[in-house]
Amino acid sequence: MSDYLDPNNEELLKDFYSEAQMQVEAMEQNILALEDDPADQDAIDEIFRAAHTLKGGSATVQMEELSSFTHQLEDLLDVIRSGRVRIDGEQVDVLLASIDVIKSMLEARQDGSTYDGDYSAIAANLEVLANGGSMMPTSVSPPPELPSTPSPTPSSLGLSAGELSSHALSEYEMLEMAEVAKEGESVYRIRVHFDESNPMNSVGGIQIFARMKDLGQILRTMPDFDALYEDVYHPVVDYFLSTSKSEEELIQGVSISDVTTEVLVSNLENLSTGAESLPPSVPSTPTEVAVEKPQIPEEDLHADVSAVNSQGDAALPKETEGSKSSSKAPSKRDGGGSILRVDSQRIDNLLNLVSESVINKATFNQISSQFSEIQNEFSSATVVFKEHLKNLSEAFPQWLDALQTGRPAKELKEEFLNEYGELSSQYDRFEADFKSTVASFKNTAANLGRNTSDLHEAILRIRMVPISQIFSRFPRLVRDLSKSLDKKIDLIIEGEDTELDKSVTEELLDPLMHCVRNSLDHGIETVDERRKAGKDGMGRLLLKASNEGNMIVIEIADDGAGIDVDKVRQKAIDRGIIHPSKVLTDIEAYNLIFEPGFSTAGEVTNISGRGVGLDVVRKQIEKLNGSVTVWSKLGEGTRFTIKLPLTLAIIQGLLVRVGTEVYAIPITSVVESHRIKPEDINVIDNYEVFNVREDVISLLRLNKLFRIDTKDDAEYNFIVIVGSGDKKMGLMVDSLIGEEDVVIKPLKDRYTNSPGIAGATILGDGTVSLIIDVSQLLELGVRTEQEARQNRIVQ
Amino acid sequence: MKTTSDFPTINERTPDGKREDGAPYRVLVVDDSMFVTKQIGQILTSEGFDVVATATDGLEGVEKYKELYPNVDLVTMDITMPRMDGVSALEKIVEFDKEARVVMISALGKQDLVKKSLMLGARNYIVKPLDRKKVLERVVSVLKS
Repeated sequence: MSDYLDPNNEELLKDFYSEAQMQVEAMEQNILALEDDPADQDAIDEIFRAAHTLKGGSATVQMEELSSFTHQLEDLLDVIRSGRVRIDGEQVDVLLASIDVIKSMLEARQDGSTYDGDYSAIAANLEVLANGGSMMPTSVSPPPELPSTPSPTPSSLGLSAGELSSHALSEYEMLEMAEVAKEGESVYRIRVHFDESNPMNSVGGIQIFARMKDLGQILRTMPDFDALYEDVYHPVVDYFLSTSKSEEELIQGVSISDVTTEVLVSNLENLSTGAESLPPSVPSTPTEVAVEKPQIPEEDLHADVSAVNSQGDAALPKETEGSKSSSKAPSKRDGGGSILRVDSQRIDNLLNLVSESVINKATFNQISSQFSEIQNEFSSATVVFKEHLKNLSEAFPQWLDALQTGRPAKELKEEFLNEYGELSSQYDRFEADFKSTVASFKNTAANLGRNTSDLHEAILRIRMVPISQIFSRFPRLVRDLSKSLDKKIDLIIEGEDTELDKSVTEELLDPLMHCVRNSLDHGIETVDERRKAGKDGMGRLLLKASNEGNMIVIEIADDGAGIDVDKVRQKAIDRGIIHPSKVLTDIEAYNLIFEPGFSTAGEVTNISGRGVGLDVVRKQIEKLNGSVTVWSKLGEGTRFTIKLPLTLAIIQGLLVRVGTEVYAIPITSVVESHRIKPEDINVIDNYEVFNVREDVISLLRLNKLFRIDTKDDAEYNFIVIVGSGDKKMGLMVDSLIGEEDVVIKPLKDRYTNSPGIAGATILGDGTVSLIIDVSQLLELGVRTEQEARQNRIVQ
Repeated sequence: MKTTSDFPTINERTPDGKREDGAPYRVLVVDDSMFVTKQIGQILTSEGFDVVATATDGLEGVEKYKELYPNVDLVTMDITMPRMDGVSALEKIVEFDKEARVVMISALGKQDLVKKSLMLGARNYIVKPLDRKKVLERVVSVLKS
C-alpha cells in the first residue's frame, strides 16, 4: 500500500483532523443556516459536500465507524437535497445531534481510542428520516409496526429491494458450489461495493474479476460475467470464490482504492447453516436480511462497522488495529503541535525579509573586514609615528645644541618641519576611512533594526488567525442554549475577520463562552419578561471584535435586564468583599461581579452560576495580559469588554531598577509614574500611601517585596502607578530606566509560584530581568487588605 | 512555544519511486502524446522513479520492452495509439513476459477496452485526465503487490 494510505501516517492524520474540523464546522454552520431558510439550496449542497468529503477522508484513514455513520448522514442529506423531505426543526435536531456524534468520534480518534458511545438511536433516526418517515423518540427502540417492505430509497448499503432478490441464491446452488471446492479450500461469498464516483465505475466489476482469478477459482458472480462486461455500473457485485486463502488475504487482494468502497467476505458454510434456521418462506440468507432491512438499524450498523474498508491497509484485523492505535496514542499526542494555516503571501513576505537580513549580514561582514583594514592602517601609521618620535627624542639634544650655538630659530623651524611635518597628517587617512566605515556601520545597524522589527511583525502575522475561528462556534451554542432556556435570541457577530495571535485564540474561547453563557442566562430575559418590560420578544446578543492600536477589543453586549447595582453592592457587603461604609461608583460596583464567589443569580442553573464565576474569566484574560470590564444599565443591557494584546510573545515593558536588579513592568498596566520625596508618603492603617491628585494610592515597596537591599537615603523615590480596571497601586522603585520591547520567556515550573513574577526576559546587554505580574501584585495587596479588615471586624 | 512542532518535517517519507534498498523503480512509458508522456514522466520522476525509456506507439513499446527486459519494472500503456494499439501491445508484452506489470492509461469512454486489457493481464488502469495522486497510488499499488 502506498504512503498516502498508511493509517499511521501522522502527517496525513493531522491534515485529516484539521480538515475534518473544518468540515464539521461547515456542516454545523450550514445546518443552522438551513434552519433559518429551509429552501437554501447552497447550504444543503455545502453540507452534502462537507459530509461527503468527511466520509471519504475518514474511510481513507480507516475510521470505519466515522465513515459509515457519515454515510448514513449522507443518505438523509441526499433525500433532503432531492427535495423529498422538507426541513423542519425535527430534522435540524437530528442533523445537529449527528454532528455531535461525529465530533465525539473525531475526538475519540484523536485521543487514540475509538468512539464507544451509543449512537444507534441517532443512526436509526437518520435512517427513518432518510426513508421519509417521521422520527421516533430517540430513547425508544424502533416500534415493530414499521413498514415491512423497505422503501425504494437506498438503504445505508446502497441496496434496493430489487437487488436483494437477485443476490439471493437457492440452497441448492450453494450446495453445488460447496461441492466444487477442493480439499483445503473454502467457498467464500465476497461482496464488493463499488465506488460510484469513480469515472470508470463500470470497469470495477471486471477489474476485481481479473484480480480474483489469481486468488482462486471463481465459481460464479452475481450479476454474471456477461452483465459485468457490459458498460453498466453495478453498485454491488457478489463473487463466489473457492480458495485456500484467508479472509484477510482476500480482502486485501480485491480492495482497490477509488474502485471499491467496501469488501465483505463471508464463508459459504456460515451462510448456508444460517439459512436452515430461517423460515422457508424467506429465500434469502439471514445475514442479508439483517444487513439490508433498514428498520433494524443496530444490526445494520454492526454490518457496516465490521465491514473492512477497502481504501486503507485492509490486512489488519479489527482488534489488532484497535490496540495498535491506542498503544500508539501517547506518542501521537506528544508530537502533535497544532496546525496553522498560513496565507502563502505572508510566508513570501517573511522570506523577503530574511533575504534582506542575509544582505545585512553580508554588509556587516564587509564592514568587519573594513575595520580590520583600518586597524592595519592604524598600526602602520603608529609605527611610522613612533619612529619619528624616537628620531625626534634622539635628535633633540642636537637641536638644542644648534639653538645654543646660535643658529637662527627660523632656520631650525624650517628644518624641523621638513623632518617631522608629516607627523601631523600621519593619521588623516586613517581618520577618513574610520569615519566612513563608522557611518556605514551605523547605517547598517539601523537597517538591521528596521529589518528585525519587520521580521518580528511578519512572524507575528504568521501566527495571526481570524477570530472567526472561535466566533463560529457561537451560533450553535446560542441556538442550543436559547432552546434550553426557552428564550428567543438573535446573535449578531461583527468583526470576525479581526486577527489575533493563535495562542491567544486558543485561550480565549473559554472566557468568551463564559461571558456569552452569562449574558444568555442572567442577562437576556424570557420572552414574557421582555414583553412586560416593553421590549421586543427577541433578545439581541452582539459579539464584536475590533482592533484598537495594538490591542484587540472584544465586546459581548446584550440588551437584557442589566446589572442591579444595589443587589451587587449588598451582596458584596454580605460576603465581606467590601466594607459596608465604602462608597462605590457604579463602575466599581459592576466590576465586583468579577470577584471570586460572586453570582447575582438567585439559584444555580445548569448553564451558569455553578460557583465558577466571572472571576475565572478575569483570571484567564489577565493571564493573557488583557483586561475585562463590564458596563451595564439596569433594564437596558450589559456589555463585557475584553481587551487583549495582539500577541503574547513580546510586550512593551517599563524597565525599572530596584537595588542592582532590573525589573520589567508591562506597559499596558502602567498608569503613570511619579517622583516623590520621602516626606510625601503618609501612613494610614499601617499602610504607606500617597496622594495623587484626588486619589489616595497605597504603596508597595518592591525592595521589601523581593527582599532586596537598597539604600533608603535617596532624596527622591520613584513610584510607578499600576492598575487594571478600578484597582490601582503604587510600586516604589529606585529609578526608572525606560521603555523597551521585551520578549517574554516563561520561567520553569519551580519558579512560577513566586508571587508577582510573570516571567523573565533577556535585556540588550544579556542580563536577565524579571517581568512583574501586576494583577498578582494587586491581588496580593487586596487580599492582605481584606484579611486585615476581617481581623478588625473580628476584634 | 515548541518551534519544532510548528514546522513538521515533510521529508521523512521515502519517495514512492525507490525500492527499500534505494534503487529506483524503472518505468517504460508508452504513449503517442508528447504531453501525456511528459506529464507521466514528471509525476513519476518527482517521486524518484526512473523513466528508462519512452515509446510513441505499441510496436515501439513492445520492442523497447524486449530490449530492456529484465531491467524494467513497470510499463504505462496508452490504449489508442498509431501502428499498434495498447491492448495488442499489452498482449504481446504479456506473451513475452508473464510477470510484466502493465498499467493501462485510458481516456473516459474506453471502458470495454479497459476491461479487455484487465482480462488480458493488465495490472491496473489510470483514467485520463491524469491526477498525480491517483497515478502514484495505482503505480505503487501495482509495484508493491
